[in-house]
Amino acid sequence: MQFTTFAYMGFFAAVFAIYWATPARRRWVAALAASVGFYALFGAPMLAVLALCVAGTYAGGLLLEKRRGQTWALVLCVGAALLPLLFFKYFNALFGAFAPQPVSAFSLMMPAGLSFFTFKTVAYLAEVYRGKLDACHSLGRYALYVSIFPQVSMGPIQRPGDLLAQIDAPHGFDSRQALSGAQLMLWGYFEKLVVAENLASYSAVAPERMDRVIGCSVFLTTLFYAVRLYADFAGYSHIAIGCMQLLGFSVPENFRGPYWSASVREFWDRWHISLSSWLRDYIYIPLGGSRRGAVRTGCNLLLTFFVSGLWHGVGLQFAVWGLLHGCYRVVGRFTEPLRARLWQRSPIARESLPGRAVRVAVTLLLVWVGWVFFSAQSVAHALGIFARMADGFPYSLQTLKNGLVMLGLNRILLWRIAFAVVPFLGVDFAARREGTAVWLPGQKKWLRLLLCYFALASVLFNAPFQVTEPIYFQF
Amino acid sequence: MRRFLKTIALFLVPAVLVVGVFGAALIRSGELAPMEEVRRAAAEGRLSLFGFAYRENIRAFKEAVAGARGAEVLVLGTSRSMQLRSRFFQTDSFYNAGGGIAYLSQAQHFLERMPQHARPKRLLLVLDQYFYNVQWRVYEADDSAKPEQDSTADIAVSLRHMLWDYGNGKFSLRQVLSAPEGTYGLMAAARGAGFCGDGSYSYGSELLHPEQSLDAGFVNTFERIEQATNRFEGGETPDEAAFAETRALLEYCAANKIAVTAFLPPYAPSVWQRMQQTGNYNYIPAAYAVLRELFAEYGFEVFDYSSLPETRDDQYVDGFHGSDRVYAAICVRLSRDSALMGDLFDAEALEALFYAPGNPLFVTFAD
Repeated sequence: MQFTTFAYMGFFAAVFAIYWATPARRRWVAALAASVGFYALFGAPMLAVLALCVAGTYAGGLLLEKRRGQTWALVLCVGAALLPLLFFKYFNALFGAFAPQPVSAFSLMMPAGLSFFTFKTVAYLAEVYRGKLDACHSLGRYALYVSIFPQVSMGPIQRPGDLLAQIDAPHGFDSRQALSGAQLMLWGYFEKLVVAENLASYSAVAPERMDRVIGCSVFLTTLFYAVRLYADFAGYSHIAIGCMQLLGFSVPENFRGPYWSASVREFWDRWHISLSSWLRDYIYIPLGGSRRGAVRTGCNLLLTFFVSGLWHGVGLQFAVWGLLHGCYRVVGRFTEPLRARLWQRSPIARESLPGRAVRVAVTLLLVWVGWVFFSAQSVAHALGIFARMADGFPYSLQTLKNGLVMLGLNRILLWRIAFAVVPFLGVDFAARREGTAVWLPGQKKWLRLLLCYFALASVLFNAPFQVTEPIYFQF
Repeated sequence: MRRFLKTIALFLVPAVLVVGVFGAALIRSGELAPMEEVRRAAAEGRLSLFGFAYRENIRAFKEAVAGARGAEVLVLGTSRSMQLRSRFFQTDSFYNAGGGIAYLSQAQHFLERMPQHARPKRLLLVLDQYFYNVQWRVYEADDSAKPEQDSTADIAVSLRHMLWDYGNGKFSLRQVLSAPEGTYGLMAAARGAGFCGDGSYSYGSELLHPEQSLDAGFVNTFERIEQATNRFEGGETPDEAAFAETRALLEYCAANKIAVTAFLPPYAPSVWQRMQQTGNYNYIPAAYAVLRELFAEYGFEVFDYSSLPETRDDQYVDGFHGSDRVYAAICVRLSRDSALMGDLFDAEALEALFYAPGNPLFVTFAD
């Protein structure tokens, strides 16, 4: 059940009513029942996998509480937690040809949100092992932490210390928080249904159609994809965070204006924050982070981003995307002194507006190159996209016009896209320091009202009828 | 909680009002009317225009109305027969069941499902050229002979579509709310597009801006020719199975005393020229040669109007659908060519309609 369906809206309204009608101490039960019901709609086999993951890692937490400091216990528990992810995500690609048919068929199932909730369980095990968190002694509350329905299929990957504490502490209805949640949900629907969906049809050219359009058209699809991906995922995150707020839970923002970043390092502080911070805390820092010399730091960065790439998908293009960002980080780190000297000598100050604009532009270019691999069906497809884009470069205004026409865009459609993308990027820019989830509630009432009515009117009149599956749902 | 719910409710009031207005417009337009009501209105002569925007039920509709009307002169074919208006014919007993078939095999089933007393005495059959292309057969579903089920309106889906289309500037609420009596469907109410009482089709306001059409300059049609797809598949020899279906249909008509006149409908001149240049459509003249002999066996007649040199490109709605003017020209030809139907036409009046000044896509009747 996707967030963007009427069925989900009806489901959430019912859950909201039942949840707040339930006595405070039992509300977690109502939330758990709703989460089980939600996940059950994906199918009984998927629910069974989720239940096994919950039970296994719950037991793992209890074991680690008794075996703190014993690495074998951590390896055993984390290995067991990762097993379903490794099996369902990678088994078929690597060994499917050699495995018996029932096994390979089963491995294609891919439980919804597996990548997301697996990382939640691993975070929990690591925190218990480190002694930062007591093991949860309530299977039900732990199950809710892992499977709470607004987060289970696409995150954010909320930390156990944060969410478990909120589950344990009964809370009253906070009208302000609920209103913020409702506003954020509405903005999330605008981002997903209006911005992302208006761009969906124009953000890719299939490999077999590449010869039928000009290079400029291919270039434009890569730009549209970059905006679409962000709006799609940020929208879904905001809907999830908004739902959680309506149920009385606080969830950290998942995006903070990533496209306004002045470096790739800053980009990863702002993009999919729950995942990038997870990778930092549970892969990069345990490997030694930046504390073991330059070469080791470089290797740690490459490995961390390689894992990030693989988390997104099995295809080589995801590994290349991850390694590309790893290289960006390594090169950025090692060239920092040189770049600092160049900036000192330049007539433009690094931190001035033009200076920052240059850095933002360069960062966008680097990120855009990565997205071409991320969006492609294979590395060869990605390279084909770059080769095709070179045709006709540099593009004249007429070429740009032709490129748009070849994609099927006319004046009306362009206006619709503009009415979606410009406000989206405008709010994103205004909220770039703290993220929309924090920025929006802090605005004056009239501005919030204006944005909400704009979002509502856009969803009613400017949301394409066909809604595509969220891009991150496949991960 | 109360304050929160009150805030949400107050916020949603304008949205509910707006959606309510559109919902009312949807109901007023007749888009949600059950098919039974539309059929009854058509059979009783109360229907002025029928054009649903968000569901389609044309085959079932045409079968039901043709069966109820029992017209002496019946037109049958695909969308390329729908511009034959009752006023082109000098008879009061006329119905255009164009759109009632998508495949040749459906024609006989259409007639078989009509009550015996309602079957026509004269059938004007429009045979799309691609019926005789063996590649067209693969598109036909195994159950294409089955009667079509009535579609039911889904108010949520229709409302959703309607809001999007309104955002696209496809219609105005005032037009919809002021649609005349006897109008069924949002297309009919908003754009004047749909099936008229005589079964012929009106394209409505779409024809006022042909430059905005999907096939402006026949770009889409030329692409189909280039790709050899979507009714423009090539072929050297015609489909023998299609001849067998035609023979079965003619035998049925002969047995039921239905006189059949048929024609192959026209393409826009530049489209026909492009087709000839490719050399990929030799199956068409080959098919016509066989059909002429086949029809003659039963005392019926068939004409090849694939190319009408007296027509111009700007008289076509798209590359292979002629406007009213083109079909007036066809009727002029039939008045001269057809022994079975020639008496139904006033050639002089039709020529006057064809050559009259004004929008090349419309004909304007004297009254």
